Amino acid sequence: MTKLYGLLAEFDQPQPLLDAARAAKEAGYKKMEAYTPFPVDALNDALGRKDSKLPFVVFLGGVFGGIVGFGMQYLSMGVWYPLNIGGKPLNSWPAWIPITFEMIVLMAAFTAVFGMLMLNGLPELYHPVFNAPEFARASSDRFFLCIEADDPQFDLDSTRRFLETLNPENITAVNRSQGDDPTRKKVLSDIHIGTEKWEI
Amino acid sequence: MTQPSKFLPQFEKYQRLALIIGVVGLLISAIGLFTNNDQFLQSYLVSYVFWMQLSVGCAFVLAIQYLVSGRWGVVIQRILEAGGFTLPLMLILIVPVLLGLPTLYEWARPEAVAHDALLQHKAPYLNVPFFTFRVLGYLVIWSAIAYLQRKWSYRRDTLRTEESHIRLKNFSGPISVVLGLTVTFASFDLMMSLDAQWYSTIFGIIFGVGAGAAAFAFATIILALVREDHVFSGKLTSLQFNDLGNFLLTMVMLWAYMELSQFLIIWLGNLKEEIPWYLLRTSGGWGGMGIILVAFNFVVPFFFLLLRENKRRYGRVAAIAWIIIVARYIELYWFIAPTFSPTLTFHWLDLTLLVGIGGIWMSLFLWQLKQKPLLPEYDPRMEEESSYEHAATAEAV
Repeated sequence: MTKLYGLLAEFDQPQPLLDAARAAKEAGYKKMEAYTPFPVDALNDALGRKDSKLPFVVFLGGVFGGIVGFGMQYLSMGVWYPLNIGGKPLNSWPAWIPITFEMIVLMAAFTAVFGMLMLNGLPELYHPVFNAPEFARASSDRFFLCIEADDPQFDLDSTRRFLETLNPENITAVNRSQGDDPTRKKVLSDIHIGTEKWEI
Repeated sequence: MTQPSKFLPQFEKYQRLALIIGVVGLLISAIGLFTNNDQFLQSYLVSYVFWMQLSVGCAFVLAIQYLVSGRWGVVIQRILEAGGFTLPLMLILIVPVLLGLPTLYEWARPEAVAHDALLQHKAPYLNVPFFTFRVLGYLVIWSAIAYLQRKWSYRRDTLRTEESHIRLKNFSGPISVVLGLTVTFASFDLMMSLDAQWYSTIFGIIFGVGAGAAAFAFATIILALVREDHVFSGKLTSLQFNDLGNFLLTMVMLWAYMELSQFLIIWLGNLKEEIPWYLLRTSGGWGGMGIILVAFNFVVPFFFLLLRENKRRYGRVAAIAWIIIVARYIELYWFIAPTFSPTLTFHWLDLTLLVGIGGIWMSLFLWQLKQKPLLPEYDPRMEEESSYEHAATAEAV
């Protein structure tokens, strides 16, 4: 049981990251994540992510809003407190449409915002990837691919060699917990990356 | 770089074919001109308005795509330019409508105006000389806009400078205002004044949004047909079809919103000047047509286009675009024809004139389309994308 979160490969362009993500998918890695300073459209596919469930959830939210919006007006104006307005039928459905529409939009929007947060696992107050000092550049000019240690195929040595074949700028080990962890030192002491010897 | 399109032989073949079909259609229709003059003019108006709104819709969408700078705009730009360039043809084809004003429009019949105080009141606006002047004015303005759009786009191909693109962009802002106003008044004049008692201030927007939807649908269909041209290789992906699908979705929703606004206000108000327009159009078979219209101009495209899978496949987007175009014709028919007949009718002249005008329209469109490669030779928007594989999720089409 290692305390390693994963191996982080750093690239300076989006294209090598895309190629790397595809190669990793090809190699059978499943638990991996990419980090970029700006959205890269193709990444979802390159990482082998399935389509998000969010659109369907939002659709259900919209349907729910529509039923509530229409039902609220129909039941109050047509059934519970019937009121003759200008000789119109009690169930004047054309007049219900604007509110029904607004309720569809409101509920779909709420579902979209909160559903998005939930499906993204937010709010998340701590993420191990920030333990790697190099990762600070993910928000400015570096593109990262992290293969997580939980992946069934993950093996410190072979995964590192695999990442080296992708020609990253460098490879970093990401610790699961903060601070100076003796296990990390032990695990990584003999890893060579490029010409550098890891000294942690 | 500028080798001719691989579809050039097809363009030439279909251009000739469309011209023959168009001329034959108009010749057959000419029989109707002598046997049933009234019906000829009524059918002519529907067909004319259908093709005219497609032309002006193309000019409008062309201006919009310069303004918003979407990457979807680059791939349909030539199609829209060619579509807009059919407007001078519309300037010629308006002549039968202008000659037949008293047959078509109640306000153009002096005996009807003499007995109607409201028509007399509206006479300073609704009279034959002013109407003719206005309608010709719209068409001249639109033709000039289409001409300039084409001219400056060609100049951009030659100059290949950012400035030439910015010029097109700057031009697009004011002209979209001009188009918005002229399209509104054109719909008031050509269609709303058929029933001179009736008025609806939102009618122009309904017409304009419908024209935009038709232009988007048309461009999508043509793009799906020429998708394999070599200029598109690496540039045209399912992402552009996704964008066009999103636009179609937006347009049908906007259309439904406007239509419902008009219906709701008139239905709730229930005033005797306004409600007859809907009473006529919801009885005698026209009601069924209205339901078909709502189903195929809104319900079906709306649910179909909600699914991303459907928007990313060119075949599916093109199929729904066909539905939207056909529904647009149904809509214009439903707007115009009930004025002349209280019960649902179709006449063979409706078909021959639609095909006749359409054949000539398509022929001019294809002639224009083959003049230049199907992608602009220079567009700053294309360079943004070459930096890296921006659209890799997209399967090549």
